[in-house]
Amino acid sequence: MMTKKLIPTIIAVTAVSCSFLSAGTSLKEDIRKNGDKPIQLAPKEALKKHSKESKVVANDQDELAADVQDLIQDQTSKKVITLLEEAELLMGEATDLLEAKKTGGNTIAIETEIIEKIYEAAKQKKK
Amino acid sequence: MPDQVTDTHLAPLPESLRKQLEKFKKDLWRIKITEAILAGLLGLIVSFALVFALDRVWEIPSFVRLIILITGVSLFTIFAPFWINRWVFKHRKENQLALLISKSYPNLGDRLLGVVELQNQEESQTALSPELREAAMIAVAHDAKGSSLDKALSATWRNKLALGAMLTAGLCSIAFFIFPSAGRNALKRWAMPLSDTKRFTFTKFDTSEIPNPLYVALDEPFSLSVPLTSDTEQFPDSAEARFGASNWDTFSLNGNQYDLKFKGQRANGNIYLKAGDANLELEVRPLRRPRLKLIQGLVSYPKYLEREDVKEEFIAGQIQVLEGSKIAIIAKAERDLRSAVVGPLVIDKYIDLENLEEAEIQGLDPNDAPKQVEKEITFKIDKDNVLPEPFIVTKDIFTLPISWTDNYGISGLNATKLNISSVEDTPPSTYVQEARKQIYMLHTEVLRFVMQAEDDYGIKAAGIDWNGTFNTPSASAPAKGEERFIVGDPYKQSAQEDIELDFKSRQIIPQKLDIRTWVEDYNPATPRMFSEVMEVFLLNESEHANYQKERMKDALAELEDAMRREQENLDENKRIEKELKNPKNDKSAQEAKKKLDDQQLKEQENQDEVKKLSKKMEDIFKESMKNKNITPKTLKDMSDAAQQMKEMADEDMPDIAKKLDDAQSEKNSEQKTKEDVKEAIKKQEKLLKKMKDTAKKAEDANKKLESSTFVNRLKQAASDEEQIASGLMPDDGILAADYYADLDPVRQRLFQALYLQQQQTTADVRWIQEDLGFFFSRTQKEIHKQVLEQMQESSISEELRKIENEIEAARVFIPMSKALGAAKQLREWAKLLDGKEDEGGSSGGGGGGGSNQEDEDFEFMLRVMKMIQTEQQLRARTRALEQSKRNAESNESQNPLPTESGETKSRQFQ
Repeated sequence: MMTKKLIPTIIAVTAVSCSFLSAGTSLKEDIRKNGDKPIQLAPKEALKKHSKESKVVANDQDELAADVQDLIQDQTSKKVITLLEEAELLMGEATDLLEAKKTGGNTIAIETEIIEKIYEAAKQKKK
Repeated sequence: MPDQVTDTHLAPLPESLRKQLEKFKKDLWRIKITEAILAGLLGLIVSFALVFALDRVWEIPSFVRLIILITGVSLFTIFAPFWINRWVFKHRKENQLALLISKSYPNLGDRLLGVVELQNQEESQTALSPELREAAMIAVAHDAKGSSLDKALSATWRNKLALGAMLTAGLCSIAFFIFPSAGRNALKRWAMPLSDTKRFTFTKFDTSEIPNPLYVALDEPFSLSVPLTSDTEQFPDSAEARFGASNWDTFSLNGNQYDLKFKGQRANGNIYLKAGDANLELEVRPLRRPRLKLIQGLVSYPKYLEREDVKEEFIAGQIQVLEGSKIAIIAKAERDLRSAVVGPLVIDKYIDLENLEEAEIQGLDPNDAPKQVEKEITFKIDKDNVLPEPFIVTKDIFTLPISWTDNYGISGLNATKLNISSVEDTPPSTYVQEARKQIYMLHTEVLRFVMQAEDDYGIKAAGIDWNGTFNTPSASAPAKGEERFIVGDPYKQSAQEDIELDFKSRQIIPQKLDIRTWVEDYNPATPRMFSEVMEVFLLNESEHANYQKERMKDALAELEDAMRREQENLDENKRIEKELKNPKNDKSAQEAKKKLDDQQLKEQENQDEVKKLSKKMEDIFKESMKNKNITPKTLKDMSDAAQQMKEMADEDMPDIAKKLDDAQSEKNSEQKTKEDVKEAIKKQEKLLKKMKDTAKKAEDANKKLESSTFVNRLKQAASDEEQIASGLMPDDGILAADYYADLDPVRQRLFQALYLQQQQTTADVRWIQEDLGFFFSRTQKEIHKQVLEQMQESSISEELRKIENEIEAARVFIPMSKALGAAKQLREWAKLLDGKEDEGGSSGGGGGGGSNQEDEDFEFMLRVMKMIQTEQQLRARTRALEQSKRNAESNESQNPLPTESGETKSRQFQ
């Protein structure tokens, strides 16, 4: 009886010991060891990142243009529709520029004009 | 001697007579010639004597001497010839002689004259016979023989002249003998009156060292030492001197010189000096003492500063330059300089307190340390500039005395002491304008602020850095980075930059960020300087909604306070109204009226509070709009509440205050006052009702917010579990090992990240459960209770903990399936909560079809406002991208040196 209990115990202990013996580290210990790494980009990497990010912004701009299109569909006022359509066109322009990685004053100016157009549409709606 | 006139006479004179006449003529000639010679000599001697005598007392001008000489010589050159001509040439003939004799012997003279004429008488022409003629001649001769013709000679000056000449010559000779030098000098000056021969004086001033003109300091007493030469023969005990036409002053002989003293003079003039027979005239020109009109330092900065040399002026003899600079002093005088005295350079040693303490610790006497040292310093004079040699300015204080003398021999009034000290290159500073210590924002927003950097000697670079920390364990590494925004230059002392920080583009996930600005100057010893830290809490949508919810709660509490104050004001107004209607006496009515003033003030104070509150609500609404997880209905309630608060502050409360003011008017009748008070109370009651409505709306909005946060949080937790499940699956689908230790290191790191993530999700769900419990206790809504009970029954927290353990043990399928199961369950609960809330309808809303148009309009406005916000964010991100692109281009081309133009990367705002 003792032997029956002993062998599985020995196997279990061995199994556990093996893991301890072979491991040397555990998951929690490894977590403790890992430190922080600062994010510092070299200029070339920064430029690559700029290229990638401007495409992301272009994408978001395009999505917003789609939202404007949806909004236009629900409108009845011609003036509001005209203003929103103009805003949509401008968004298209901005999207193209951002895809071309152009994030300069021209693009920002178009974005400002978009804001003004939408704002105008909102004021027109209130009337 | 003129030739004898040998006339061939027809009847010559008797020989004796002829001889007598001849002798007479010779005597006459001899005397007169002698007179002429003596007169000439006398003239010469006297003129010489005059010169000699006058020279003893007076510097005879050359023209005077010339006149004297001419006068003296004229006796020889004019008088003598004249005399000789008169007495010799005009007394050659016998008849001329007879005439002369007749002046002394008229008879004889006349007979002689007759006889002389008889010599040439022809017999044929006259009746005179030769025998008679001869007899006449013999008779005259006989008479003449008996007379001495010497008496017929004119009075002669011969003796006197001779005497005079001898005396004068004798005197001159004596003078010559006694004063040979004076004599020789007088002779020279007499003989060559136009020559430069200086007058001989027995007393001689040595003017070799005395400049003429003599320049003296304007309006200052001056002295002049006039020495006598070594060959001076007489040393008068005193001399007299004066300036211009002033009185003569006497000065005693001091050794070998006379020390003259004069008062200060303002105009040019002459000094007259006489001592013995010596005279001296000196022109004196008073001049202002030369001043240093400009003192500059040519400063060469330390090399690290990369700055050009500059010229800086000394102010009141002082200058401060940067420590480590080299200074070349240029002291410019009003006139060209002859000489200067520069130095020594006195150095007051800088006492380093640390060294002082160190010395004391070591038992050394700190007083032994040299406090002041002197150093010789060379210099140059360049026309009107004094140029000491350059030296390096250290922490010590330098003092350099300079004195100077101009080309006229006039020195500066006082020596100038120049003080040169140093200033430290102080570290630069930077700060954020109108900085807020803590900022809470959505992680998708762009942070905008203005950074300022300053340095006394040029900003080299400035930028920002950020360090993130997670409040709870996270699989990701906290954000850490920096970026340069300002490229400085050695002359840029101040710079400002608008910073736009787009976290999303930098892949910075929600966490707490410590952001600060930094600045560097050119001094290699100065470390980078930082601003105060701005704590930016980047919130995910759920956290952001929670934050707005807390703010709403505070706003609600403030609204309740405002309501309470308004209620108190209303109660007091009612008491006043009552008093006015039924006054106990006149006095009480008056007092009641006076209280209206207080009431008005209180109303205005409450209005100010409500105004602030409405602004706060507006801000909460604007912030909530940015969060896509906050439902439109919630936003509408917020908007309504904000709008109502604004109306209360801008319209309702001012109206009440005005009414109370009107009620106090002196011109009012009692009736009017009562009416005004009544009106005010009516408005106040309406206001209170409005406040209650607003409070309810705000509370509804808050509840919705709170509720929606549960939905969001549950959805977030579900999403996290799905991510964990997805992360557990190996890319190749094959399990490599059973134990964590046997895993590939890449896989090990993945398990670590997933473990931490699971820990976080477990904690989140535990908090959701707890918060829901509290929330239910307030709302008592069935749906909240239902979800809570389900959560408790499922022991979801325990299940999630088990997943942690499985991950720790590096198992895959068990934790994966459990995670997916947990995610499903969490989504169901979220759906349950979300759906029931929607079914419940807008609890604060007006309900019914009548408000549909209004809702639609609000919906449109909301969408439009969100679009505007989104576009603004896109614009901010575009700006941020452009900024980082410019920085990268700048860093790539000139890292780490500044640009040539030194421009900062300024931003254009639209």
